[in-house]
Amino acid sequence: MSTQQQSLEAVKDYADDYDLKLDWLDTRGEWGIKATPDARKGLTLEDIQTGSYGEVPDHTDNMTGRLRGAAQREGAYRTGGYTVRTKSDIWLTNAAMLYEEALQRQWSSATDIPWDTIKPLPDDVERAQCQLATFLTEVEFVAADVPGKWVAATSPDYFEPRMFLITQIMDESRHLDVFRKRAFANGGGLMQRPDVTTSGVVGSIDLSKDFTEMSSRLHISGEGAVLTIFRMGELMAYNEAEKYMYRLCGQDESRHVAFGVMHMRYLAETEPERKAEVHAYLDEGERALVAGNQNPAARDTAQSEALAVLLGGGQKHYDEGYKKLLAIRKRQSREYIQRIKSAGFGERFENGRANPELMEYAKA
Amino acid sequence: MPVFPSIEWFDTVRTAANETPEFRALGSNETNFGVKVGDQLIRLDFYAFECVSVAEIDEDGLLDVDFYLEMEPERWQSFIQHIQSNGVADAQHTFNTLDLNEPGGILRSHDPYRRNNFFRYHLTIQKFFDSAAAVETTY
Ligand SMILES: [Fe+2]
Ligand SMILES: [Fe+2]
Repeated sequence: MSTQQQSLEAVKDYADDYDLKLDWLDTRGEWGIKATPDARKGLTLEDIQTGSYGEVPDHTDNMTGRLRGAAQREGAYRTGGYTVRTKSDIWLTNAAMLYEEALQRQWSSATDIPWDTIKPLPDDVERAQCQLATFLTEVEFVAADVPGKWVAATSPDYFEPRMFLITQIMDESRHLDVFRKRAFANGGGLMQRPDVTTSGVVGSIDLSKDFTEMSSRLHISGEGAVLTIFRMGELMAYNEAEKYMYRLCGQDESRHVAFGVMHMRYLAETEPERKAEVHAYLDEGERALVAGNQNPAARDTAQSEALAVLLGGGQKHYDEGYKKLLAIRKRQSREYIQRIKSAGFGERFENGRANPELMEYAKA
Repeated sequence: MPVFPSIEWFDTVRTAANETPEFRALGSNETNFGVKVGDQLIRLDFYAFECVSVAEIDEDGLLDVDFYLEMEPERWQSFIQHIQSNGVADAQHTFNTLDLNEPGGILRSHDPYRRNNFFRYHLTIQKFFDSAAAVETTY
């Protein structure tokens, strides 16, 4: 008998002698787990997806807030009104890794942006920058607000994607604040809020009753388009501060897009019968990409005109800026098509289902 | 003096980058990518907070990397020389800008999901090449 067992027996004997109830000592999940830290990364969530603790149920009726693998307790309250209780509704193969990456790649809008590089700009350029910042703060608000609702709706048995969403809320909050700070950093301020950011298509992200429906609208259509904008930030920034804003936000955004792509890929592989439904979400997302207010590079909105002013170098060079904007749309459309193919839904580009206007943009 | 491009050159930059606190402070990453200089192909593996290895590969090896950055040797040379005279790549010389400005782009990949890793880690990748500033180089 090991020393550990001997001391446990001694405690139990003592409990018997004095009529103490220590049955909780024997009520536990799988025992003897010894997770090994990764030599370079440290002890990550992936390292503790081990033994039965790494087994994720296909469906769960756990409504009590009990974390996966802990022993049940009779009489526990049903504290959670979780609607996400089916694995394929939210799962992806690498949520744990994306979560750890999000923690490691945080940054601060207060200290990581060289704010002192912002110098006075011509009035039209400053107004365009502030219009874009006004648009982006609201978009980022939605991008944090919506996952927030899904955090509370997800069973603790699927805590890895749930915790990724929490990191996304942090990221989007920082995006909101960095664009708000930019609006106030150079003698400008906020401009008119976009027409339909919290209604219309972006609003419909929030009306989604299904996680994949929300994810296809938010992570794939919405954030994919915004990622392209951030990537083009190099071309429309007027100082190092703006460049850093776009670069740092772009890194976060590509992580959110990666989450969406990997979730859709998982769903396509495990529940192909749901593909038709996802195609319907994508139909709607594509309409928004070409004409909606969620995409600042879509046509005829205050923010698309602001982009043209910024890209051209002022109102006088609007036409030149507009040409660059068309190049952004082309890139957005191409990157979107690649993303959807990678997520396992590429058939829509072969069978004529994809939005014809989007396909034109990609060809242009 | 290490010759660009060679394993010796990339290894020297690798050591310099791994010793740079700002490089590690950008956060963990997990990617591998190719650098294509004319016909010469180098693969770099990044893991956790460092660049863990560099190796020479052939064209088939490009199928195994997340993405690769391709420029003609003269373009690479002026890119490295710019970093060495400026200390870091300025906004006109980031890989992202070069990709946007070059007619066919410089970022290539066989897999759109893995291509996204460039955007996920582009500041880390840029910082790695900034470490070439202190590496005496011949071409
Ligand atoms: Fe964002
Ligand atoms: Fe995002």
